[in-house]
Amino acid sequence: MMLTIFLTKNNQDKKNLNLNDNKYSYDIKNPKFTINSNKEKISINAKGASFINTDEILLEKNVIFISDKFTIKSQEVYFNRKNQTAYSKKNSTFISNGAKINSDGFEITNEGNIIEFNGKTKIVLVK
Amino acid sequence: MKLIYILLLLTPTLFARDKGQIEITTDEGIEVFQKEKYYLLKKNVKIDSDDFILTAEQVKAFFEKDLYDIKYIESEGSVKFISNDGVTVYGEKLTFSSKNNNIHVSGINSSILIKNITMKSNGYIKIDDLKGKFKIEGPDSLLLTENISIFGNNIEGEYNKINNINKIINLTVIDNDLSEIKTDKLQMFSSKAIFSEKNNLIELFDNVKVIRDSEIIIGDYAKINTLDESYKIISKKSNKVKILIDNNQ
Repeated sequence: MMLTIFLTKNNQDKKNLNLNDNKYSYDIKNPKFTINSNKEKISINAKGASFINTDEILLEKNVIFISDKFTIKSQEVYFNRKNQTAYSKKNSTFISNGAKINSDGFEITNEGNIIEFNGKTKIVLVK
Repeated sequence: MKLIYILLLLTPTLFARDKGQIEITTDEGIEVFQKEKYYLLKKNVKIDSDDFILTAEQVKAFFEKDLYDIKYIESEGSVKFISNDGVTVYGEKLTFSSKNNNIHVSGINSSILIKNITMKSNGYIKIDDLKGKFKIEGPDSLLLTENISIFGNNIEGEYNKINNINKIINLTVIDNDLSEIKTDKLQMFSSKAIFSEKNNLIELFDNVKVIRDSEIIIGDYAKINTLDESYKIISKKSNKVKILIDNNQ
């Protein structure tokens, strides 16, 4: 009985690793990272991640950056562990207290102090 | 066909900004500097809010607490600013403070229209709308109202808002060459001119020339009563006032 459960779970993990999509296979499943600056901590979650090189990781599917001040959602984000930077060239949505930004991509640099949204961008600010 | 027509009718409603919202669109994105508390909007920028609509090539917006609390704007490149209280501004560079309604516009063909007052300059125009003060400086500066036109390199003054109409209450015009003040009946030239609405008086200083119909009077100083447009001209230096009467006019 125990063995069956183990094998079933193992098979499920394998399936999860491929995320039910033959095109994708990830090095890390459900990765979680953190960018730490002096004042702010940014948590990063995604469904999968692949190593591009030693420092750079490609985060894919339901990528979410969460800090006390904002949330950014995108389908594909490149994260550099060494420089603690991140960028995306895919549609991204930024949500903060009273602000929603839709853009063709973004870049987070300077320990999260500078956030750049690229391409055609629409910002809606609400008091 | 009917569906397309209905969709076309609905489109403006679907994309309309809600009251209280600020909607910003750009062609080349936005950079948010959280520590410095400003954001940079790039290329073909439009800011649409309850208080104003601003279009420009680039805008730097400084905020207080969050992105909504815009306290100060620096914009450049074909700037157009329209406030909901009747101020329209055109220029190459514009700064606007939402706290005290200060506007500074500069560059070729700068202009500010405040309801019935038009200000233009190829230098800069500065307005403190709360205090009702303005300054126009630079080449081809002018100020126009319904009944008076003022031309000079440096025009500075104050205005009052009465019943939604702006009224100039005082101004000083200085020009290294000659300033010009034009009413329906008079054309006045001088190096410096001072207008006081309270005293119904225009004073002209140095290189004074007053033209009324075919009459041209030249002197060093002039006092013009703005109620009946009568005037008195004196010449301090030469003690002589020159009067020319052109019969051909």
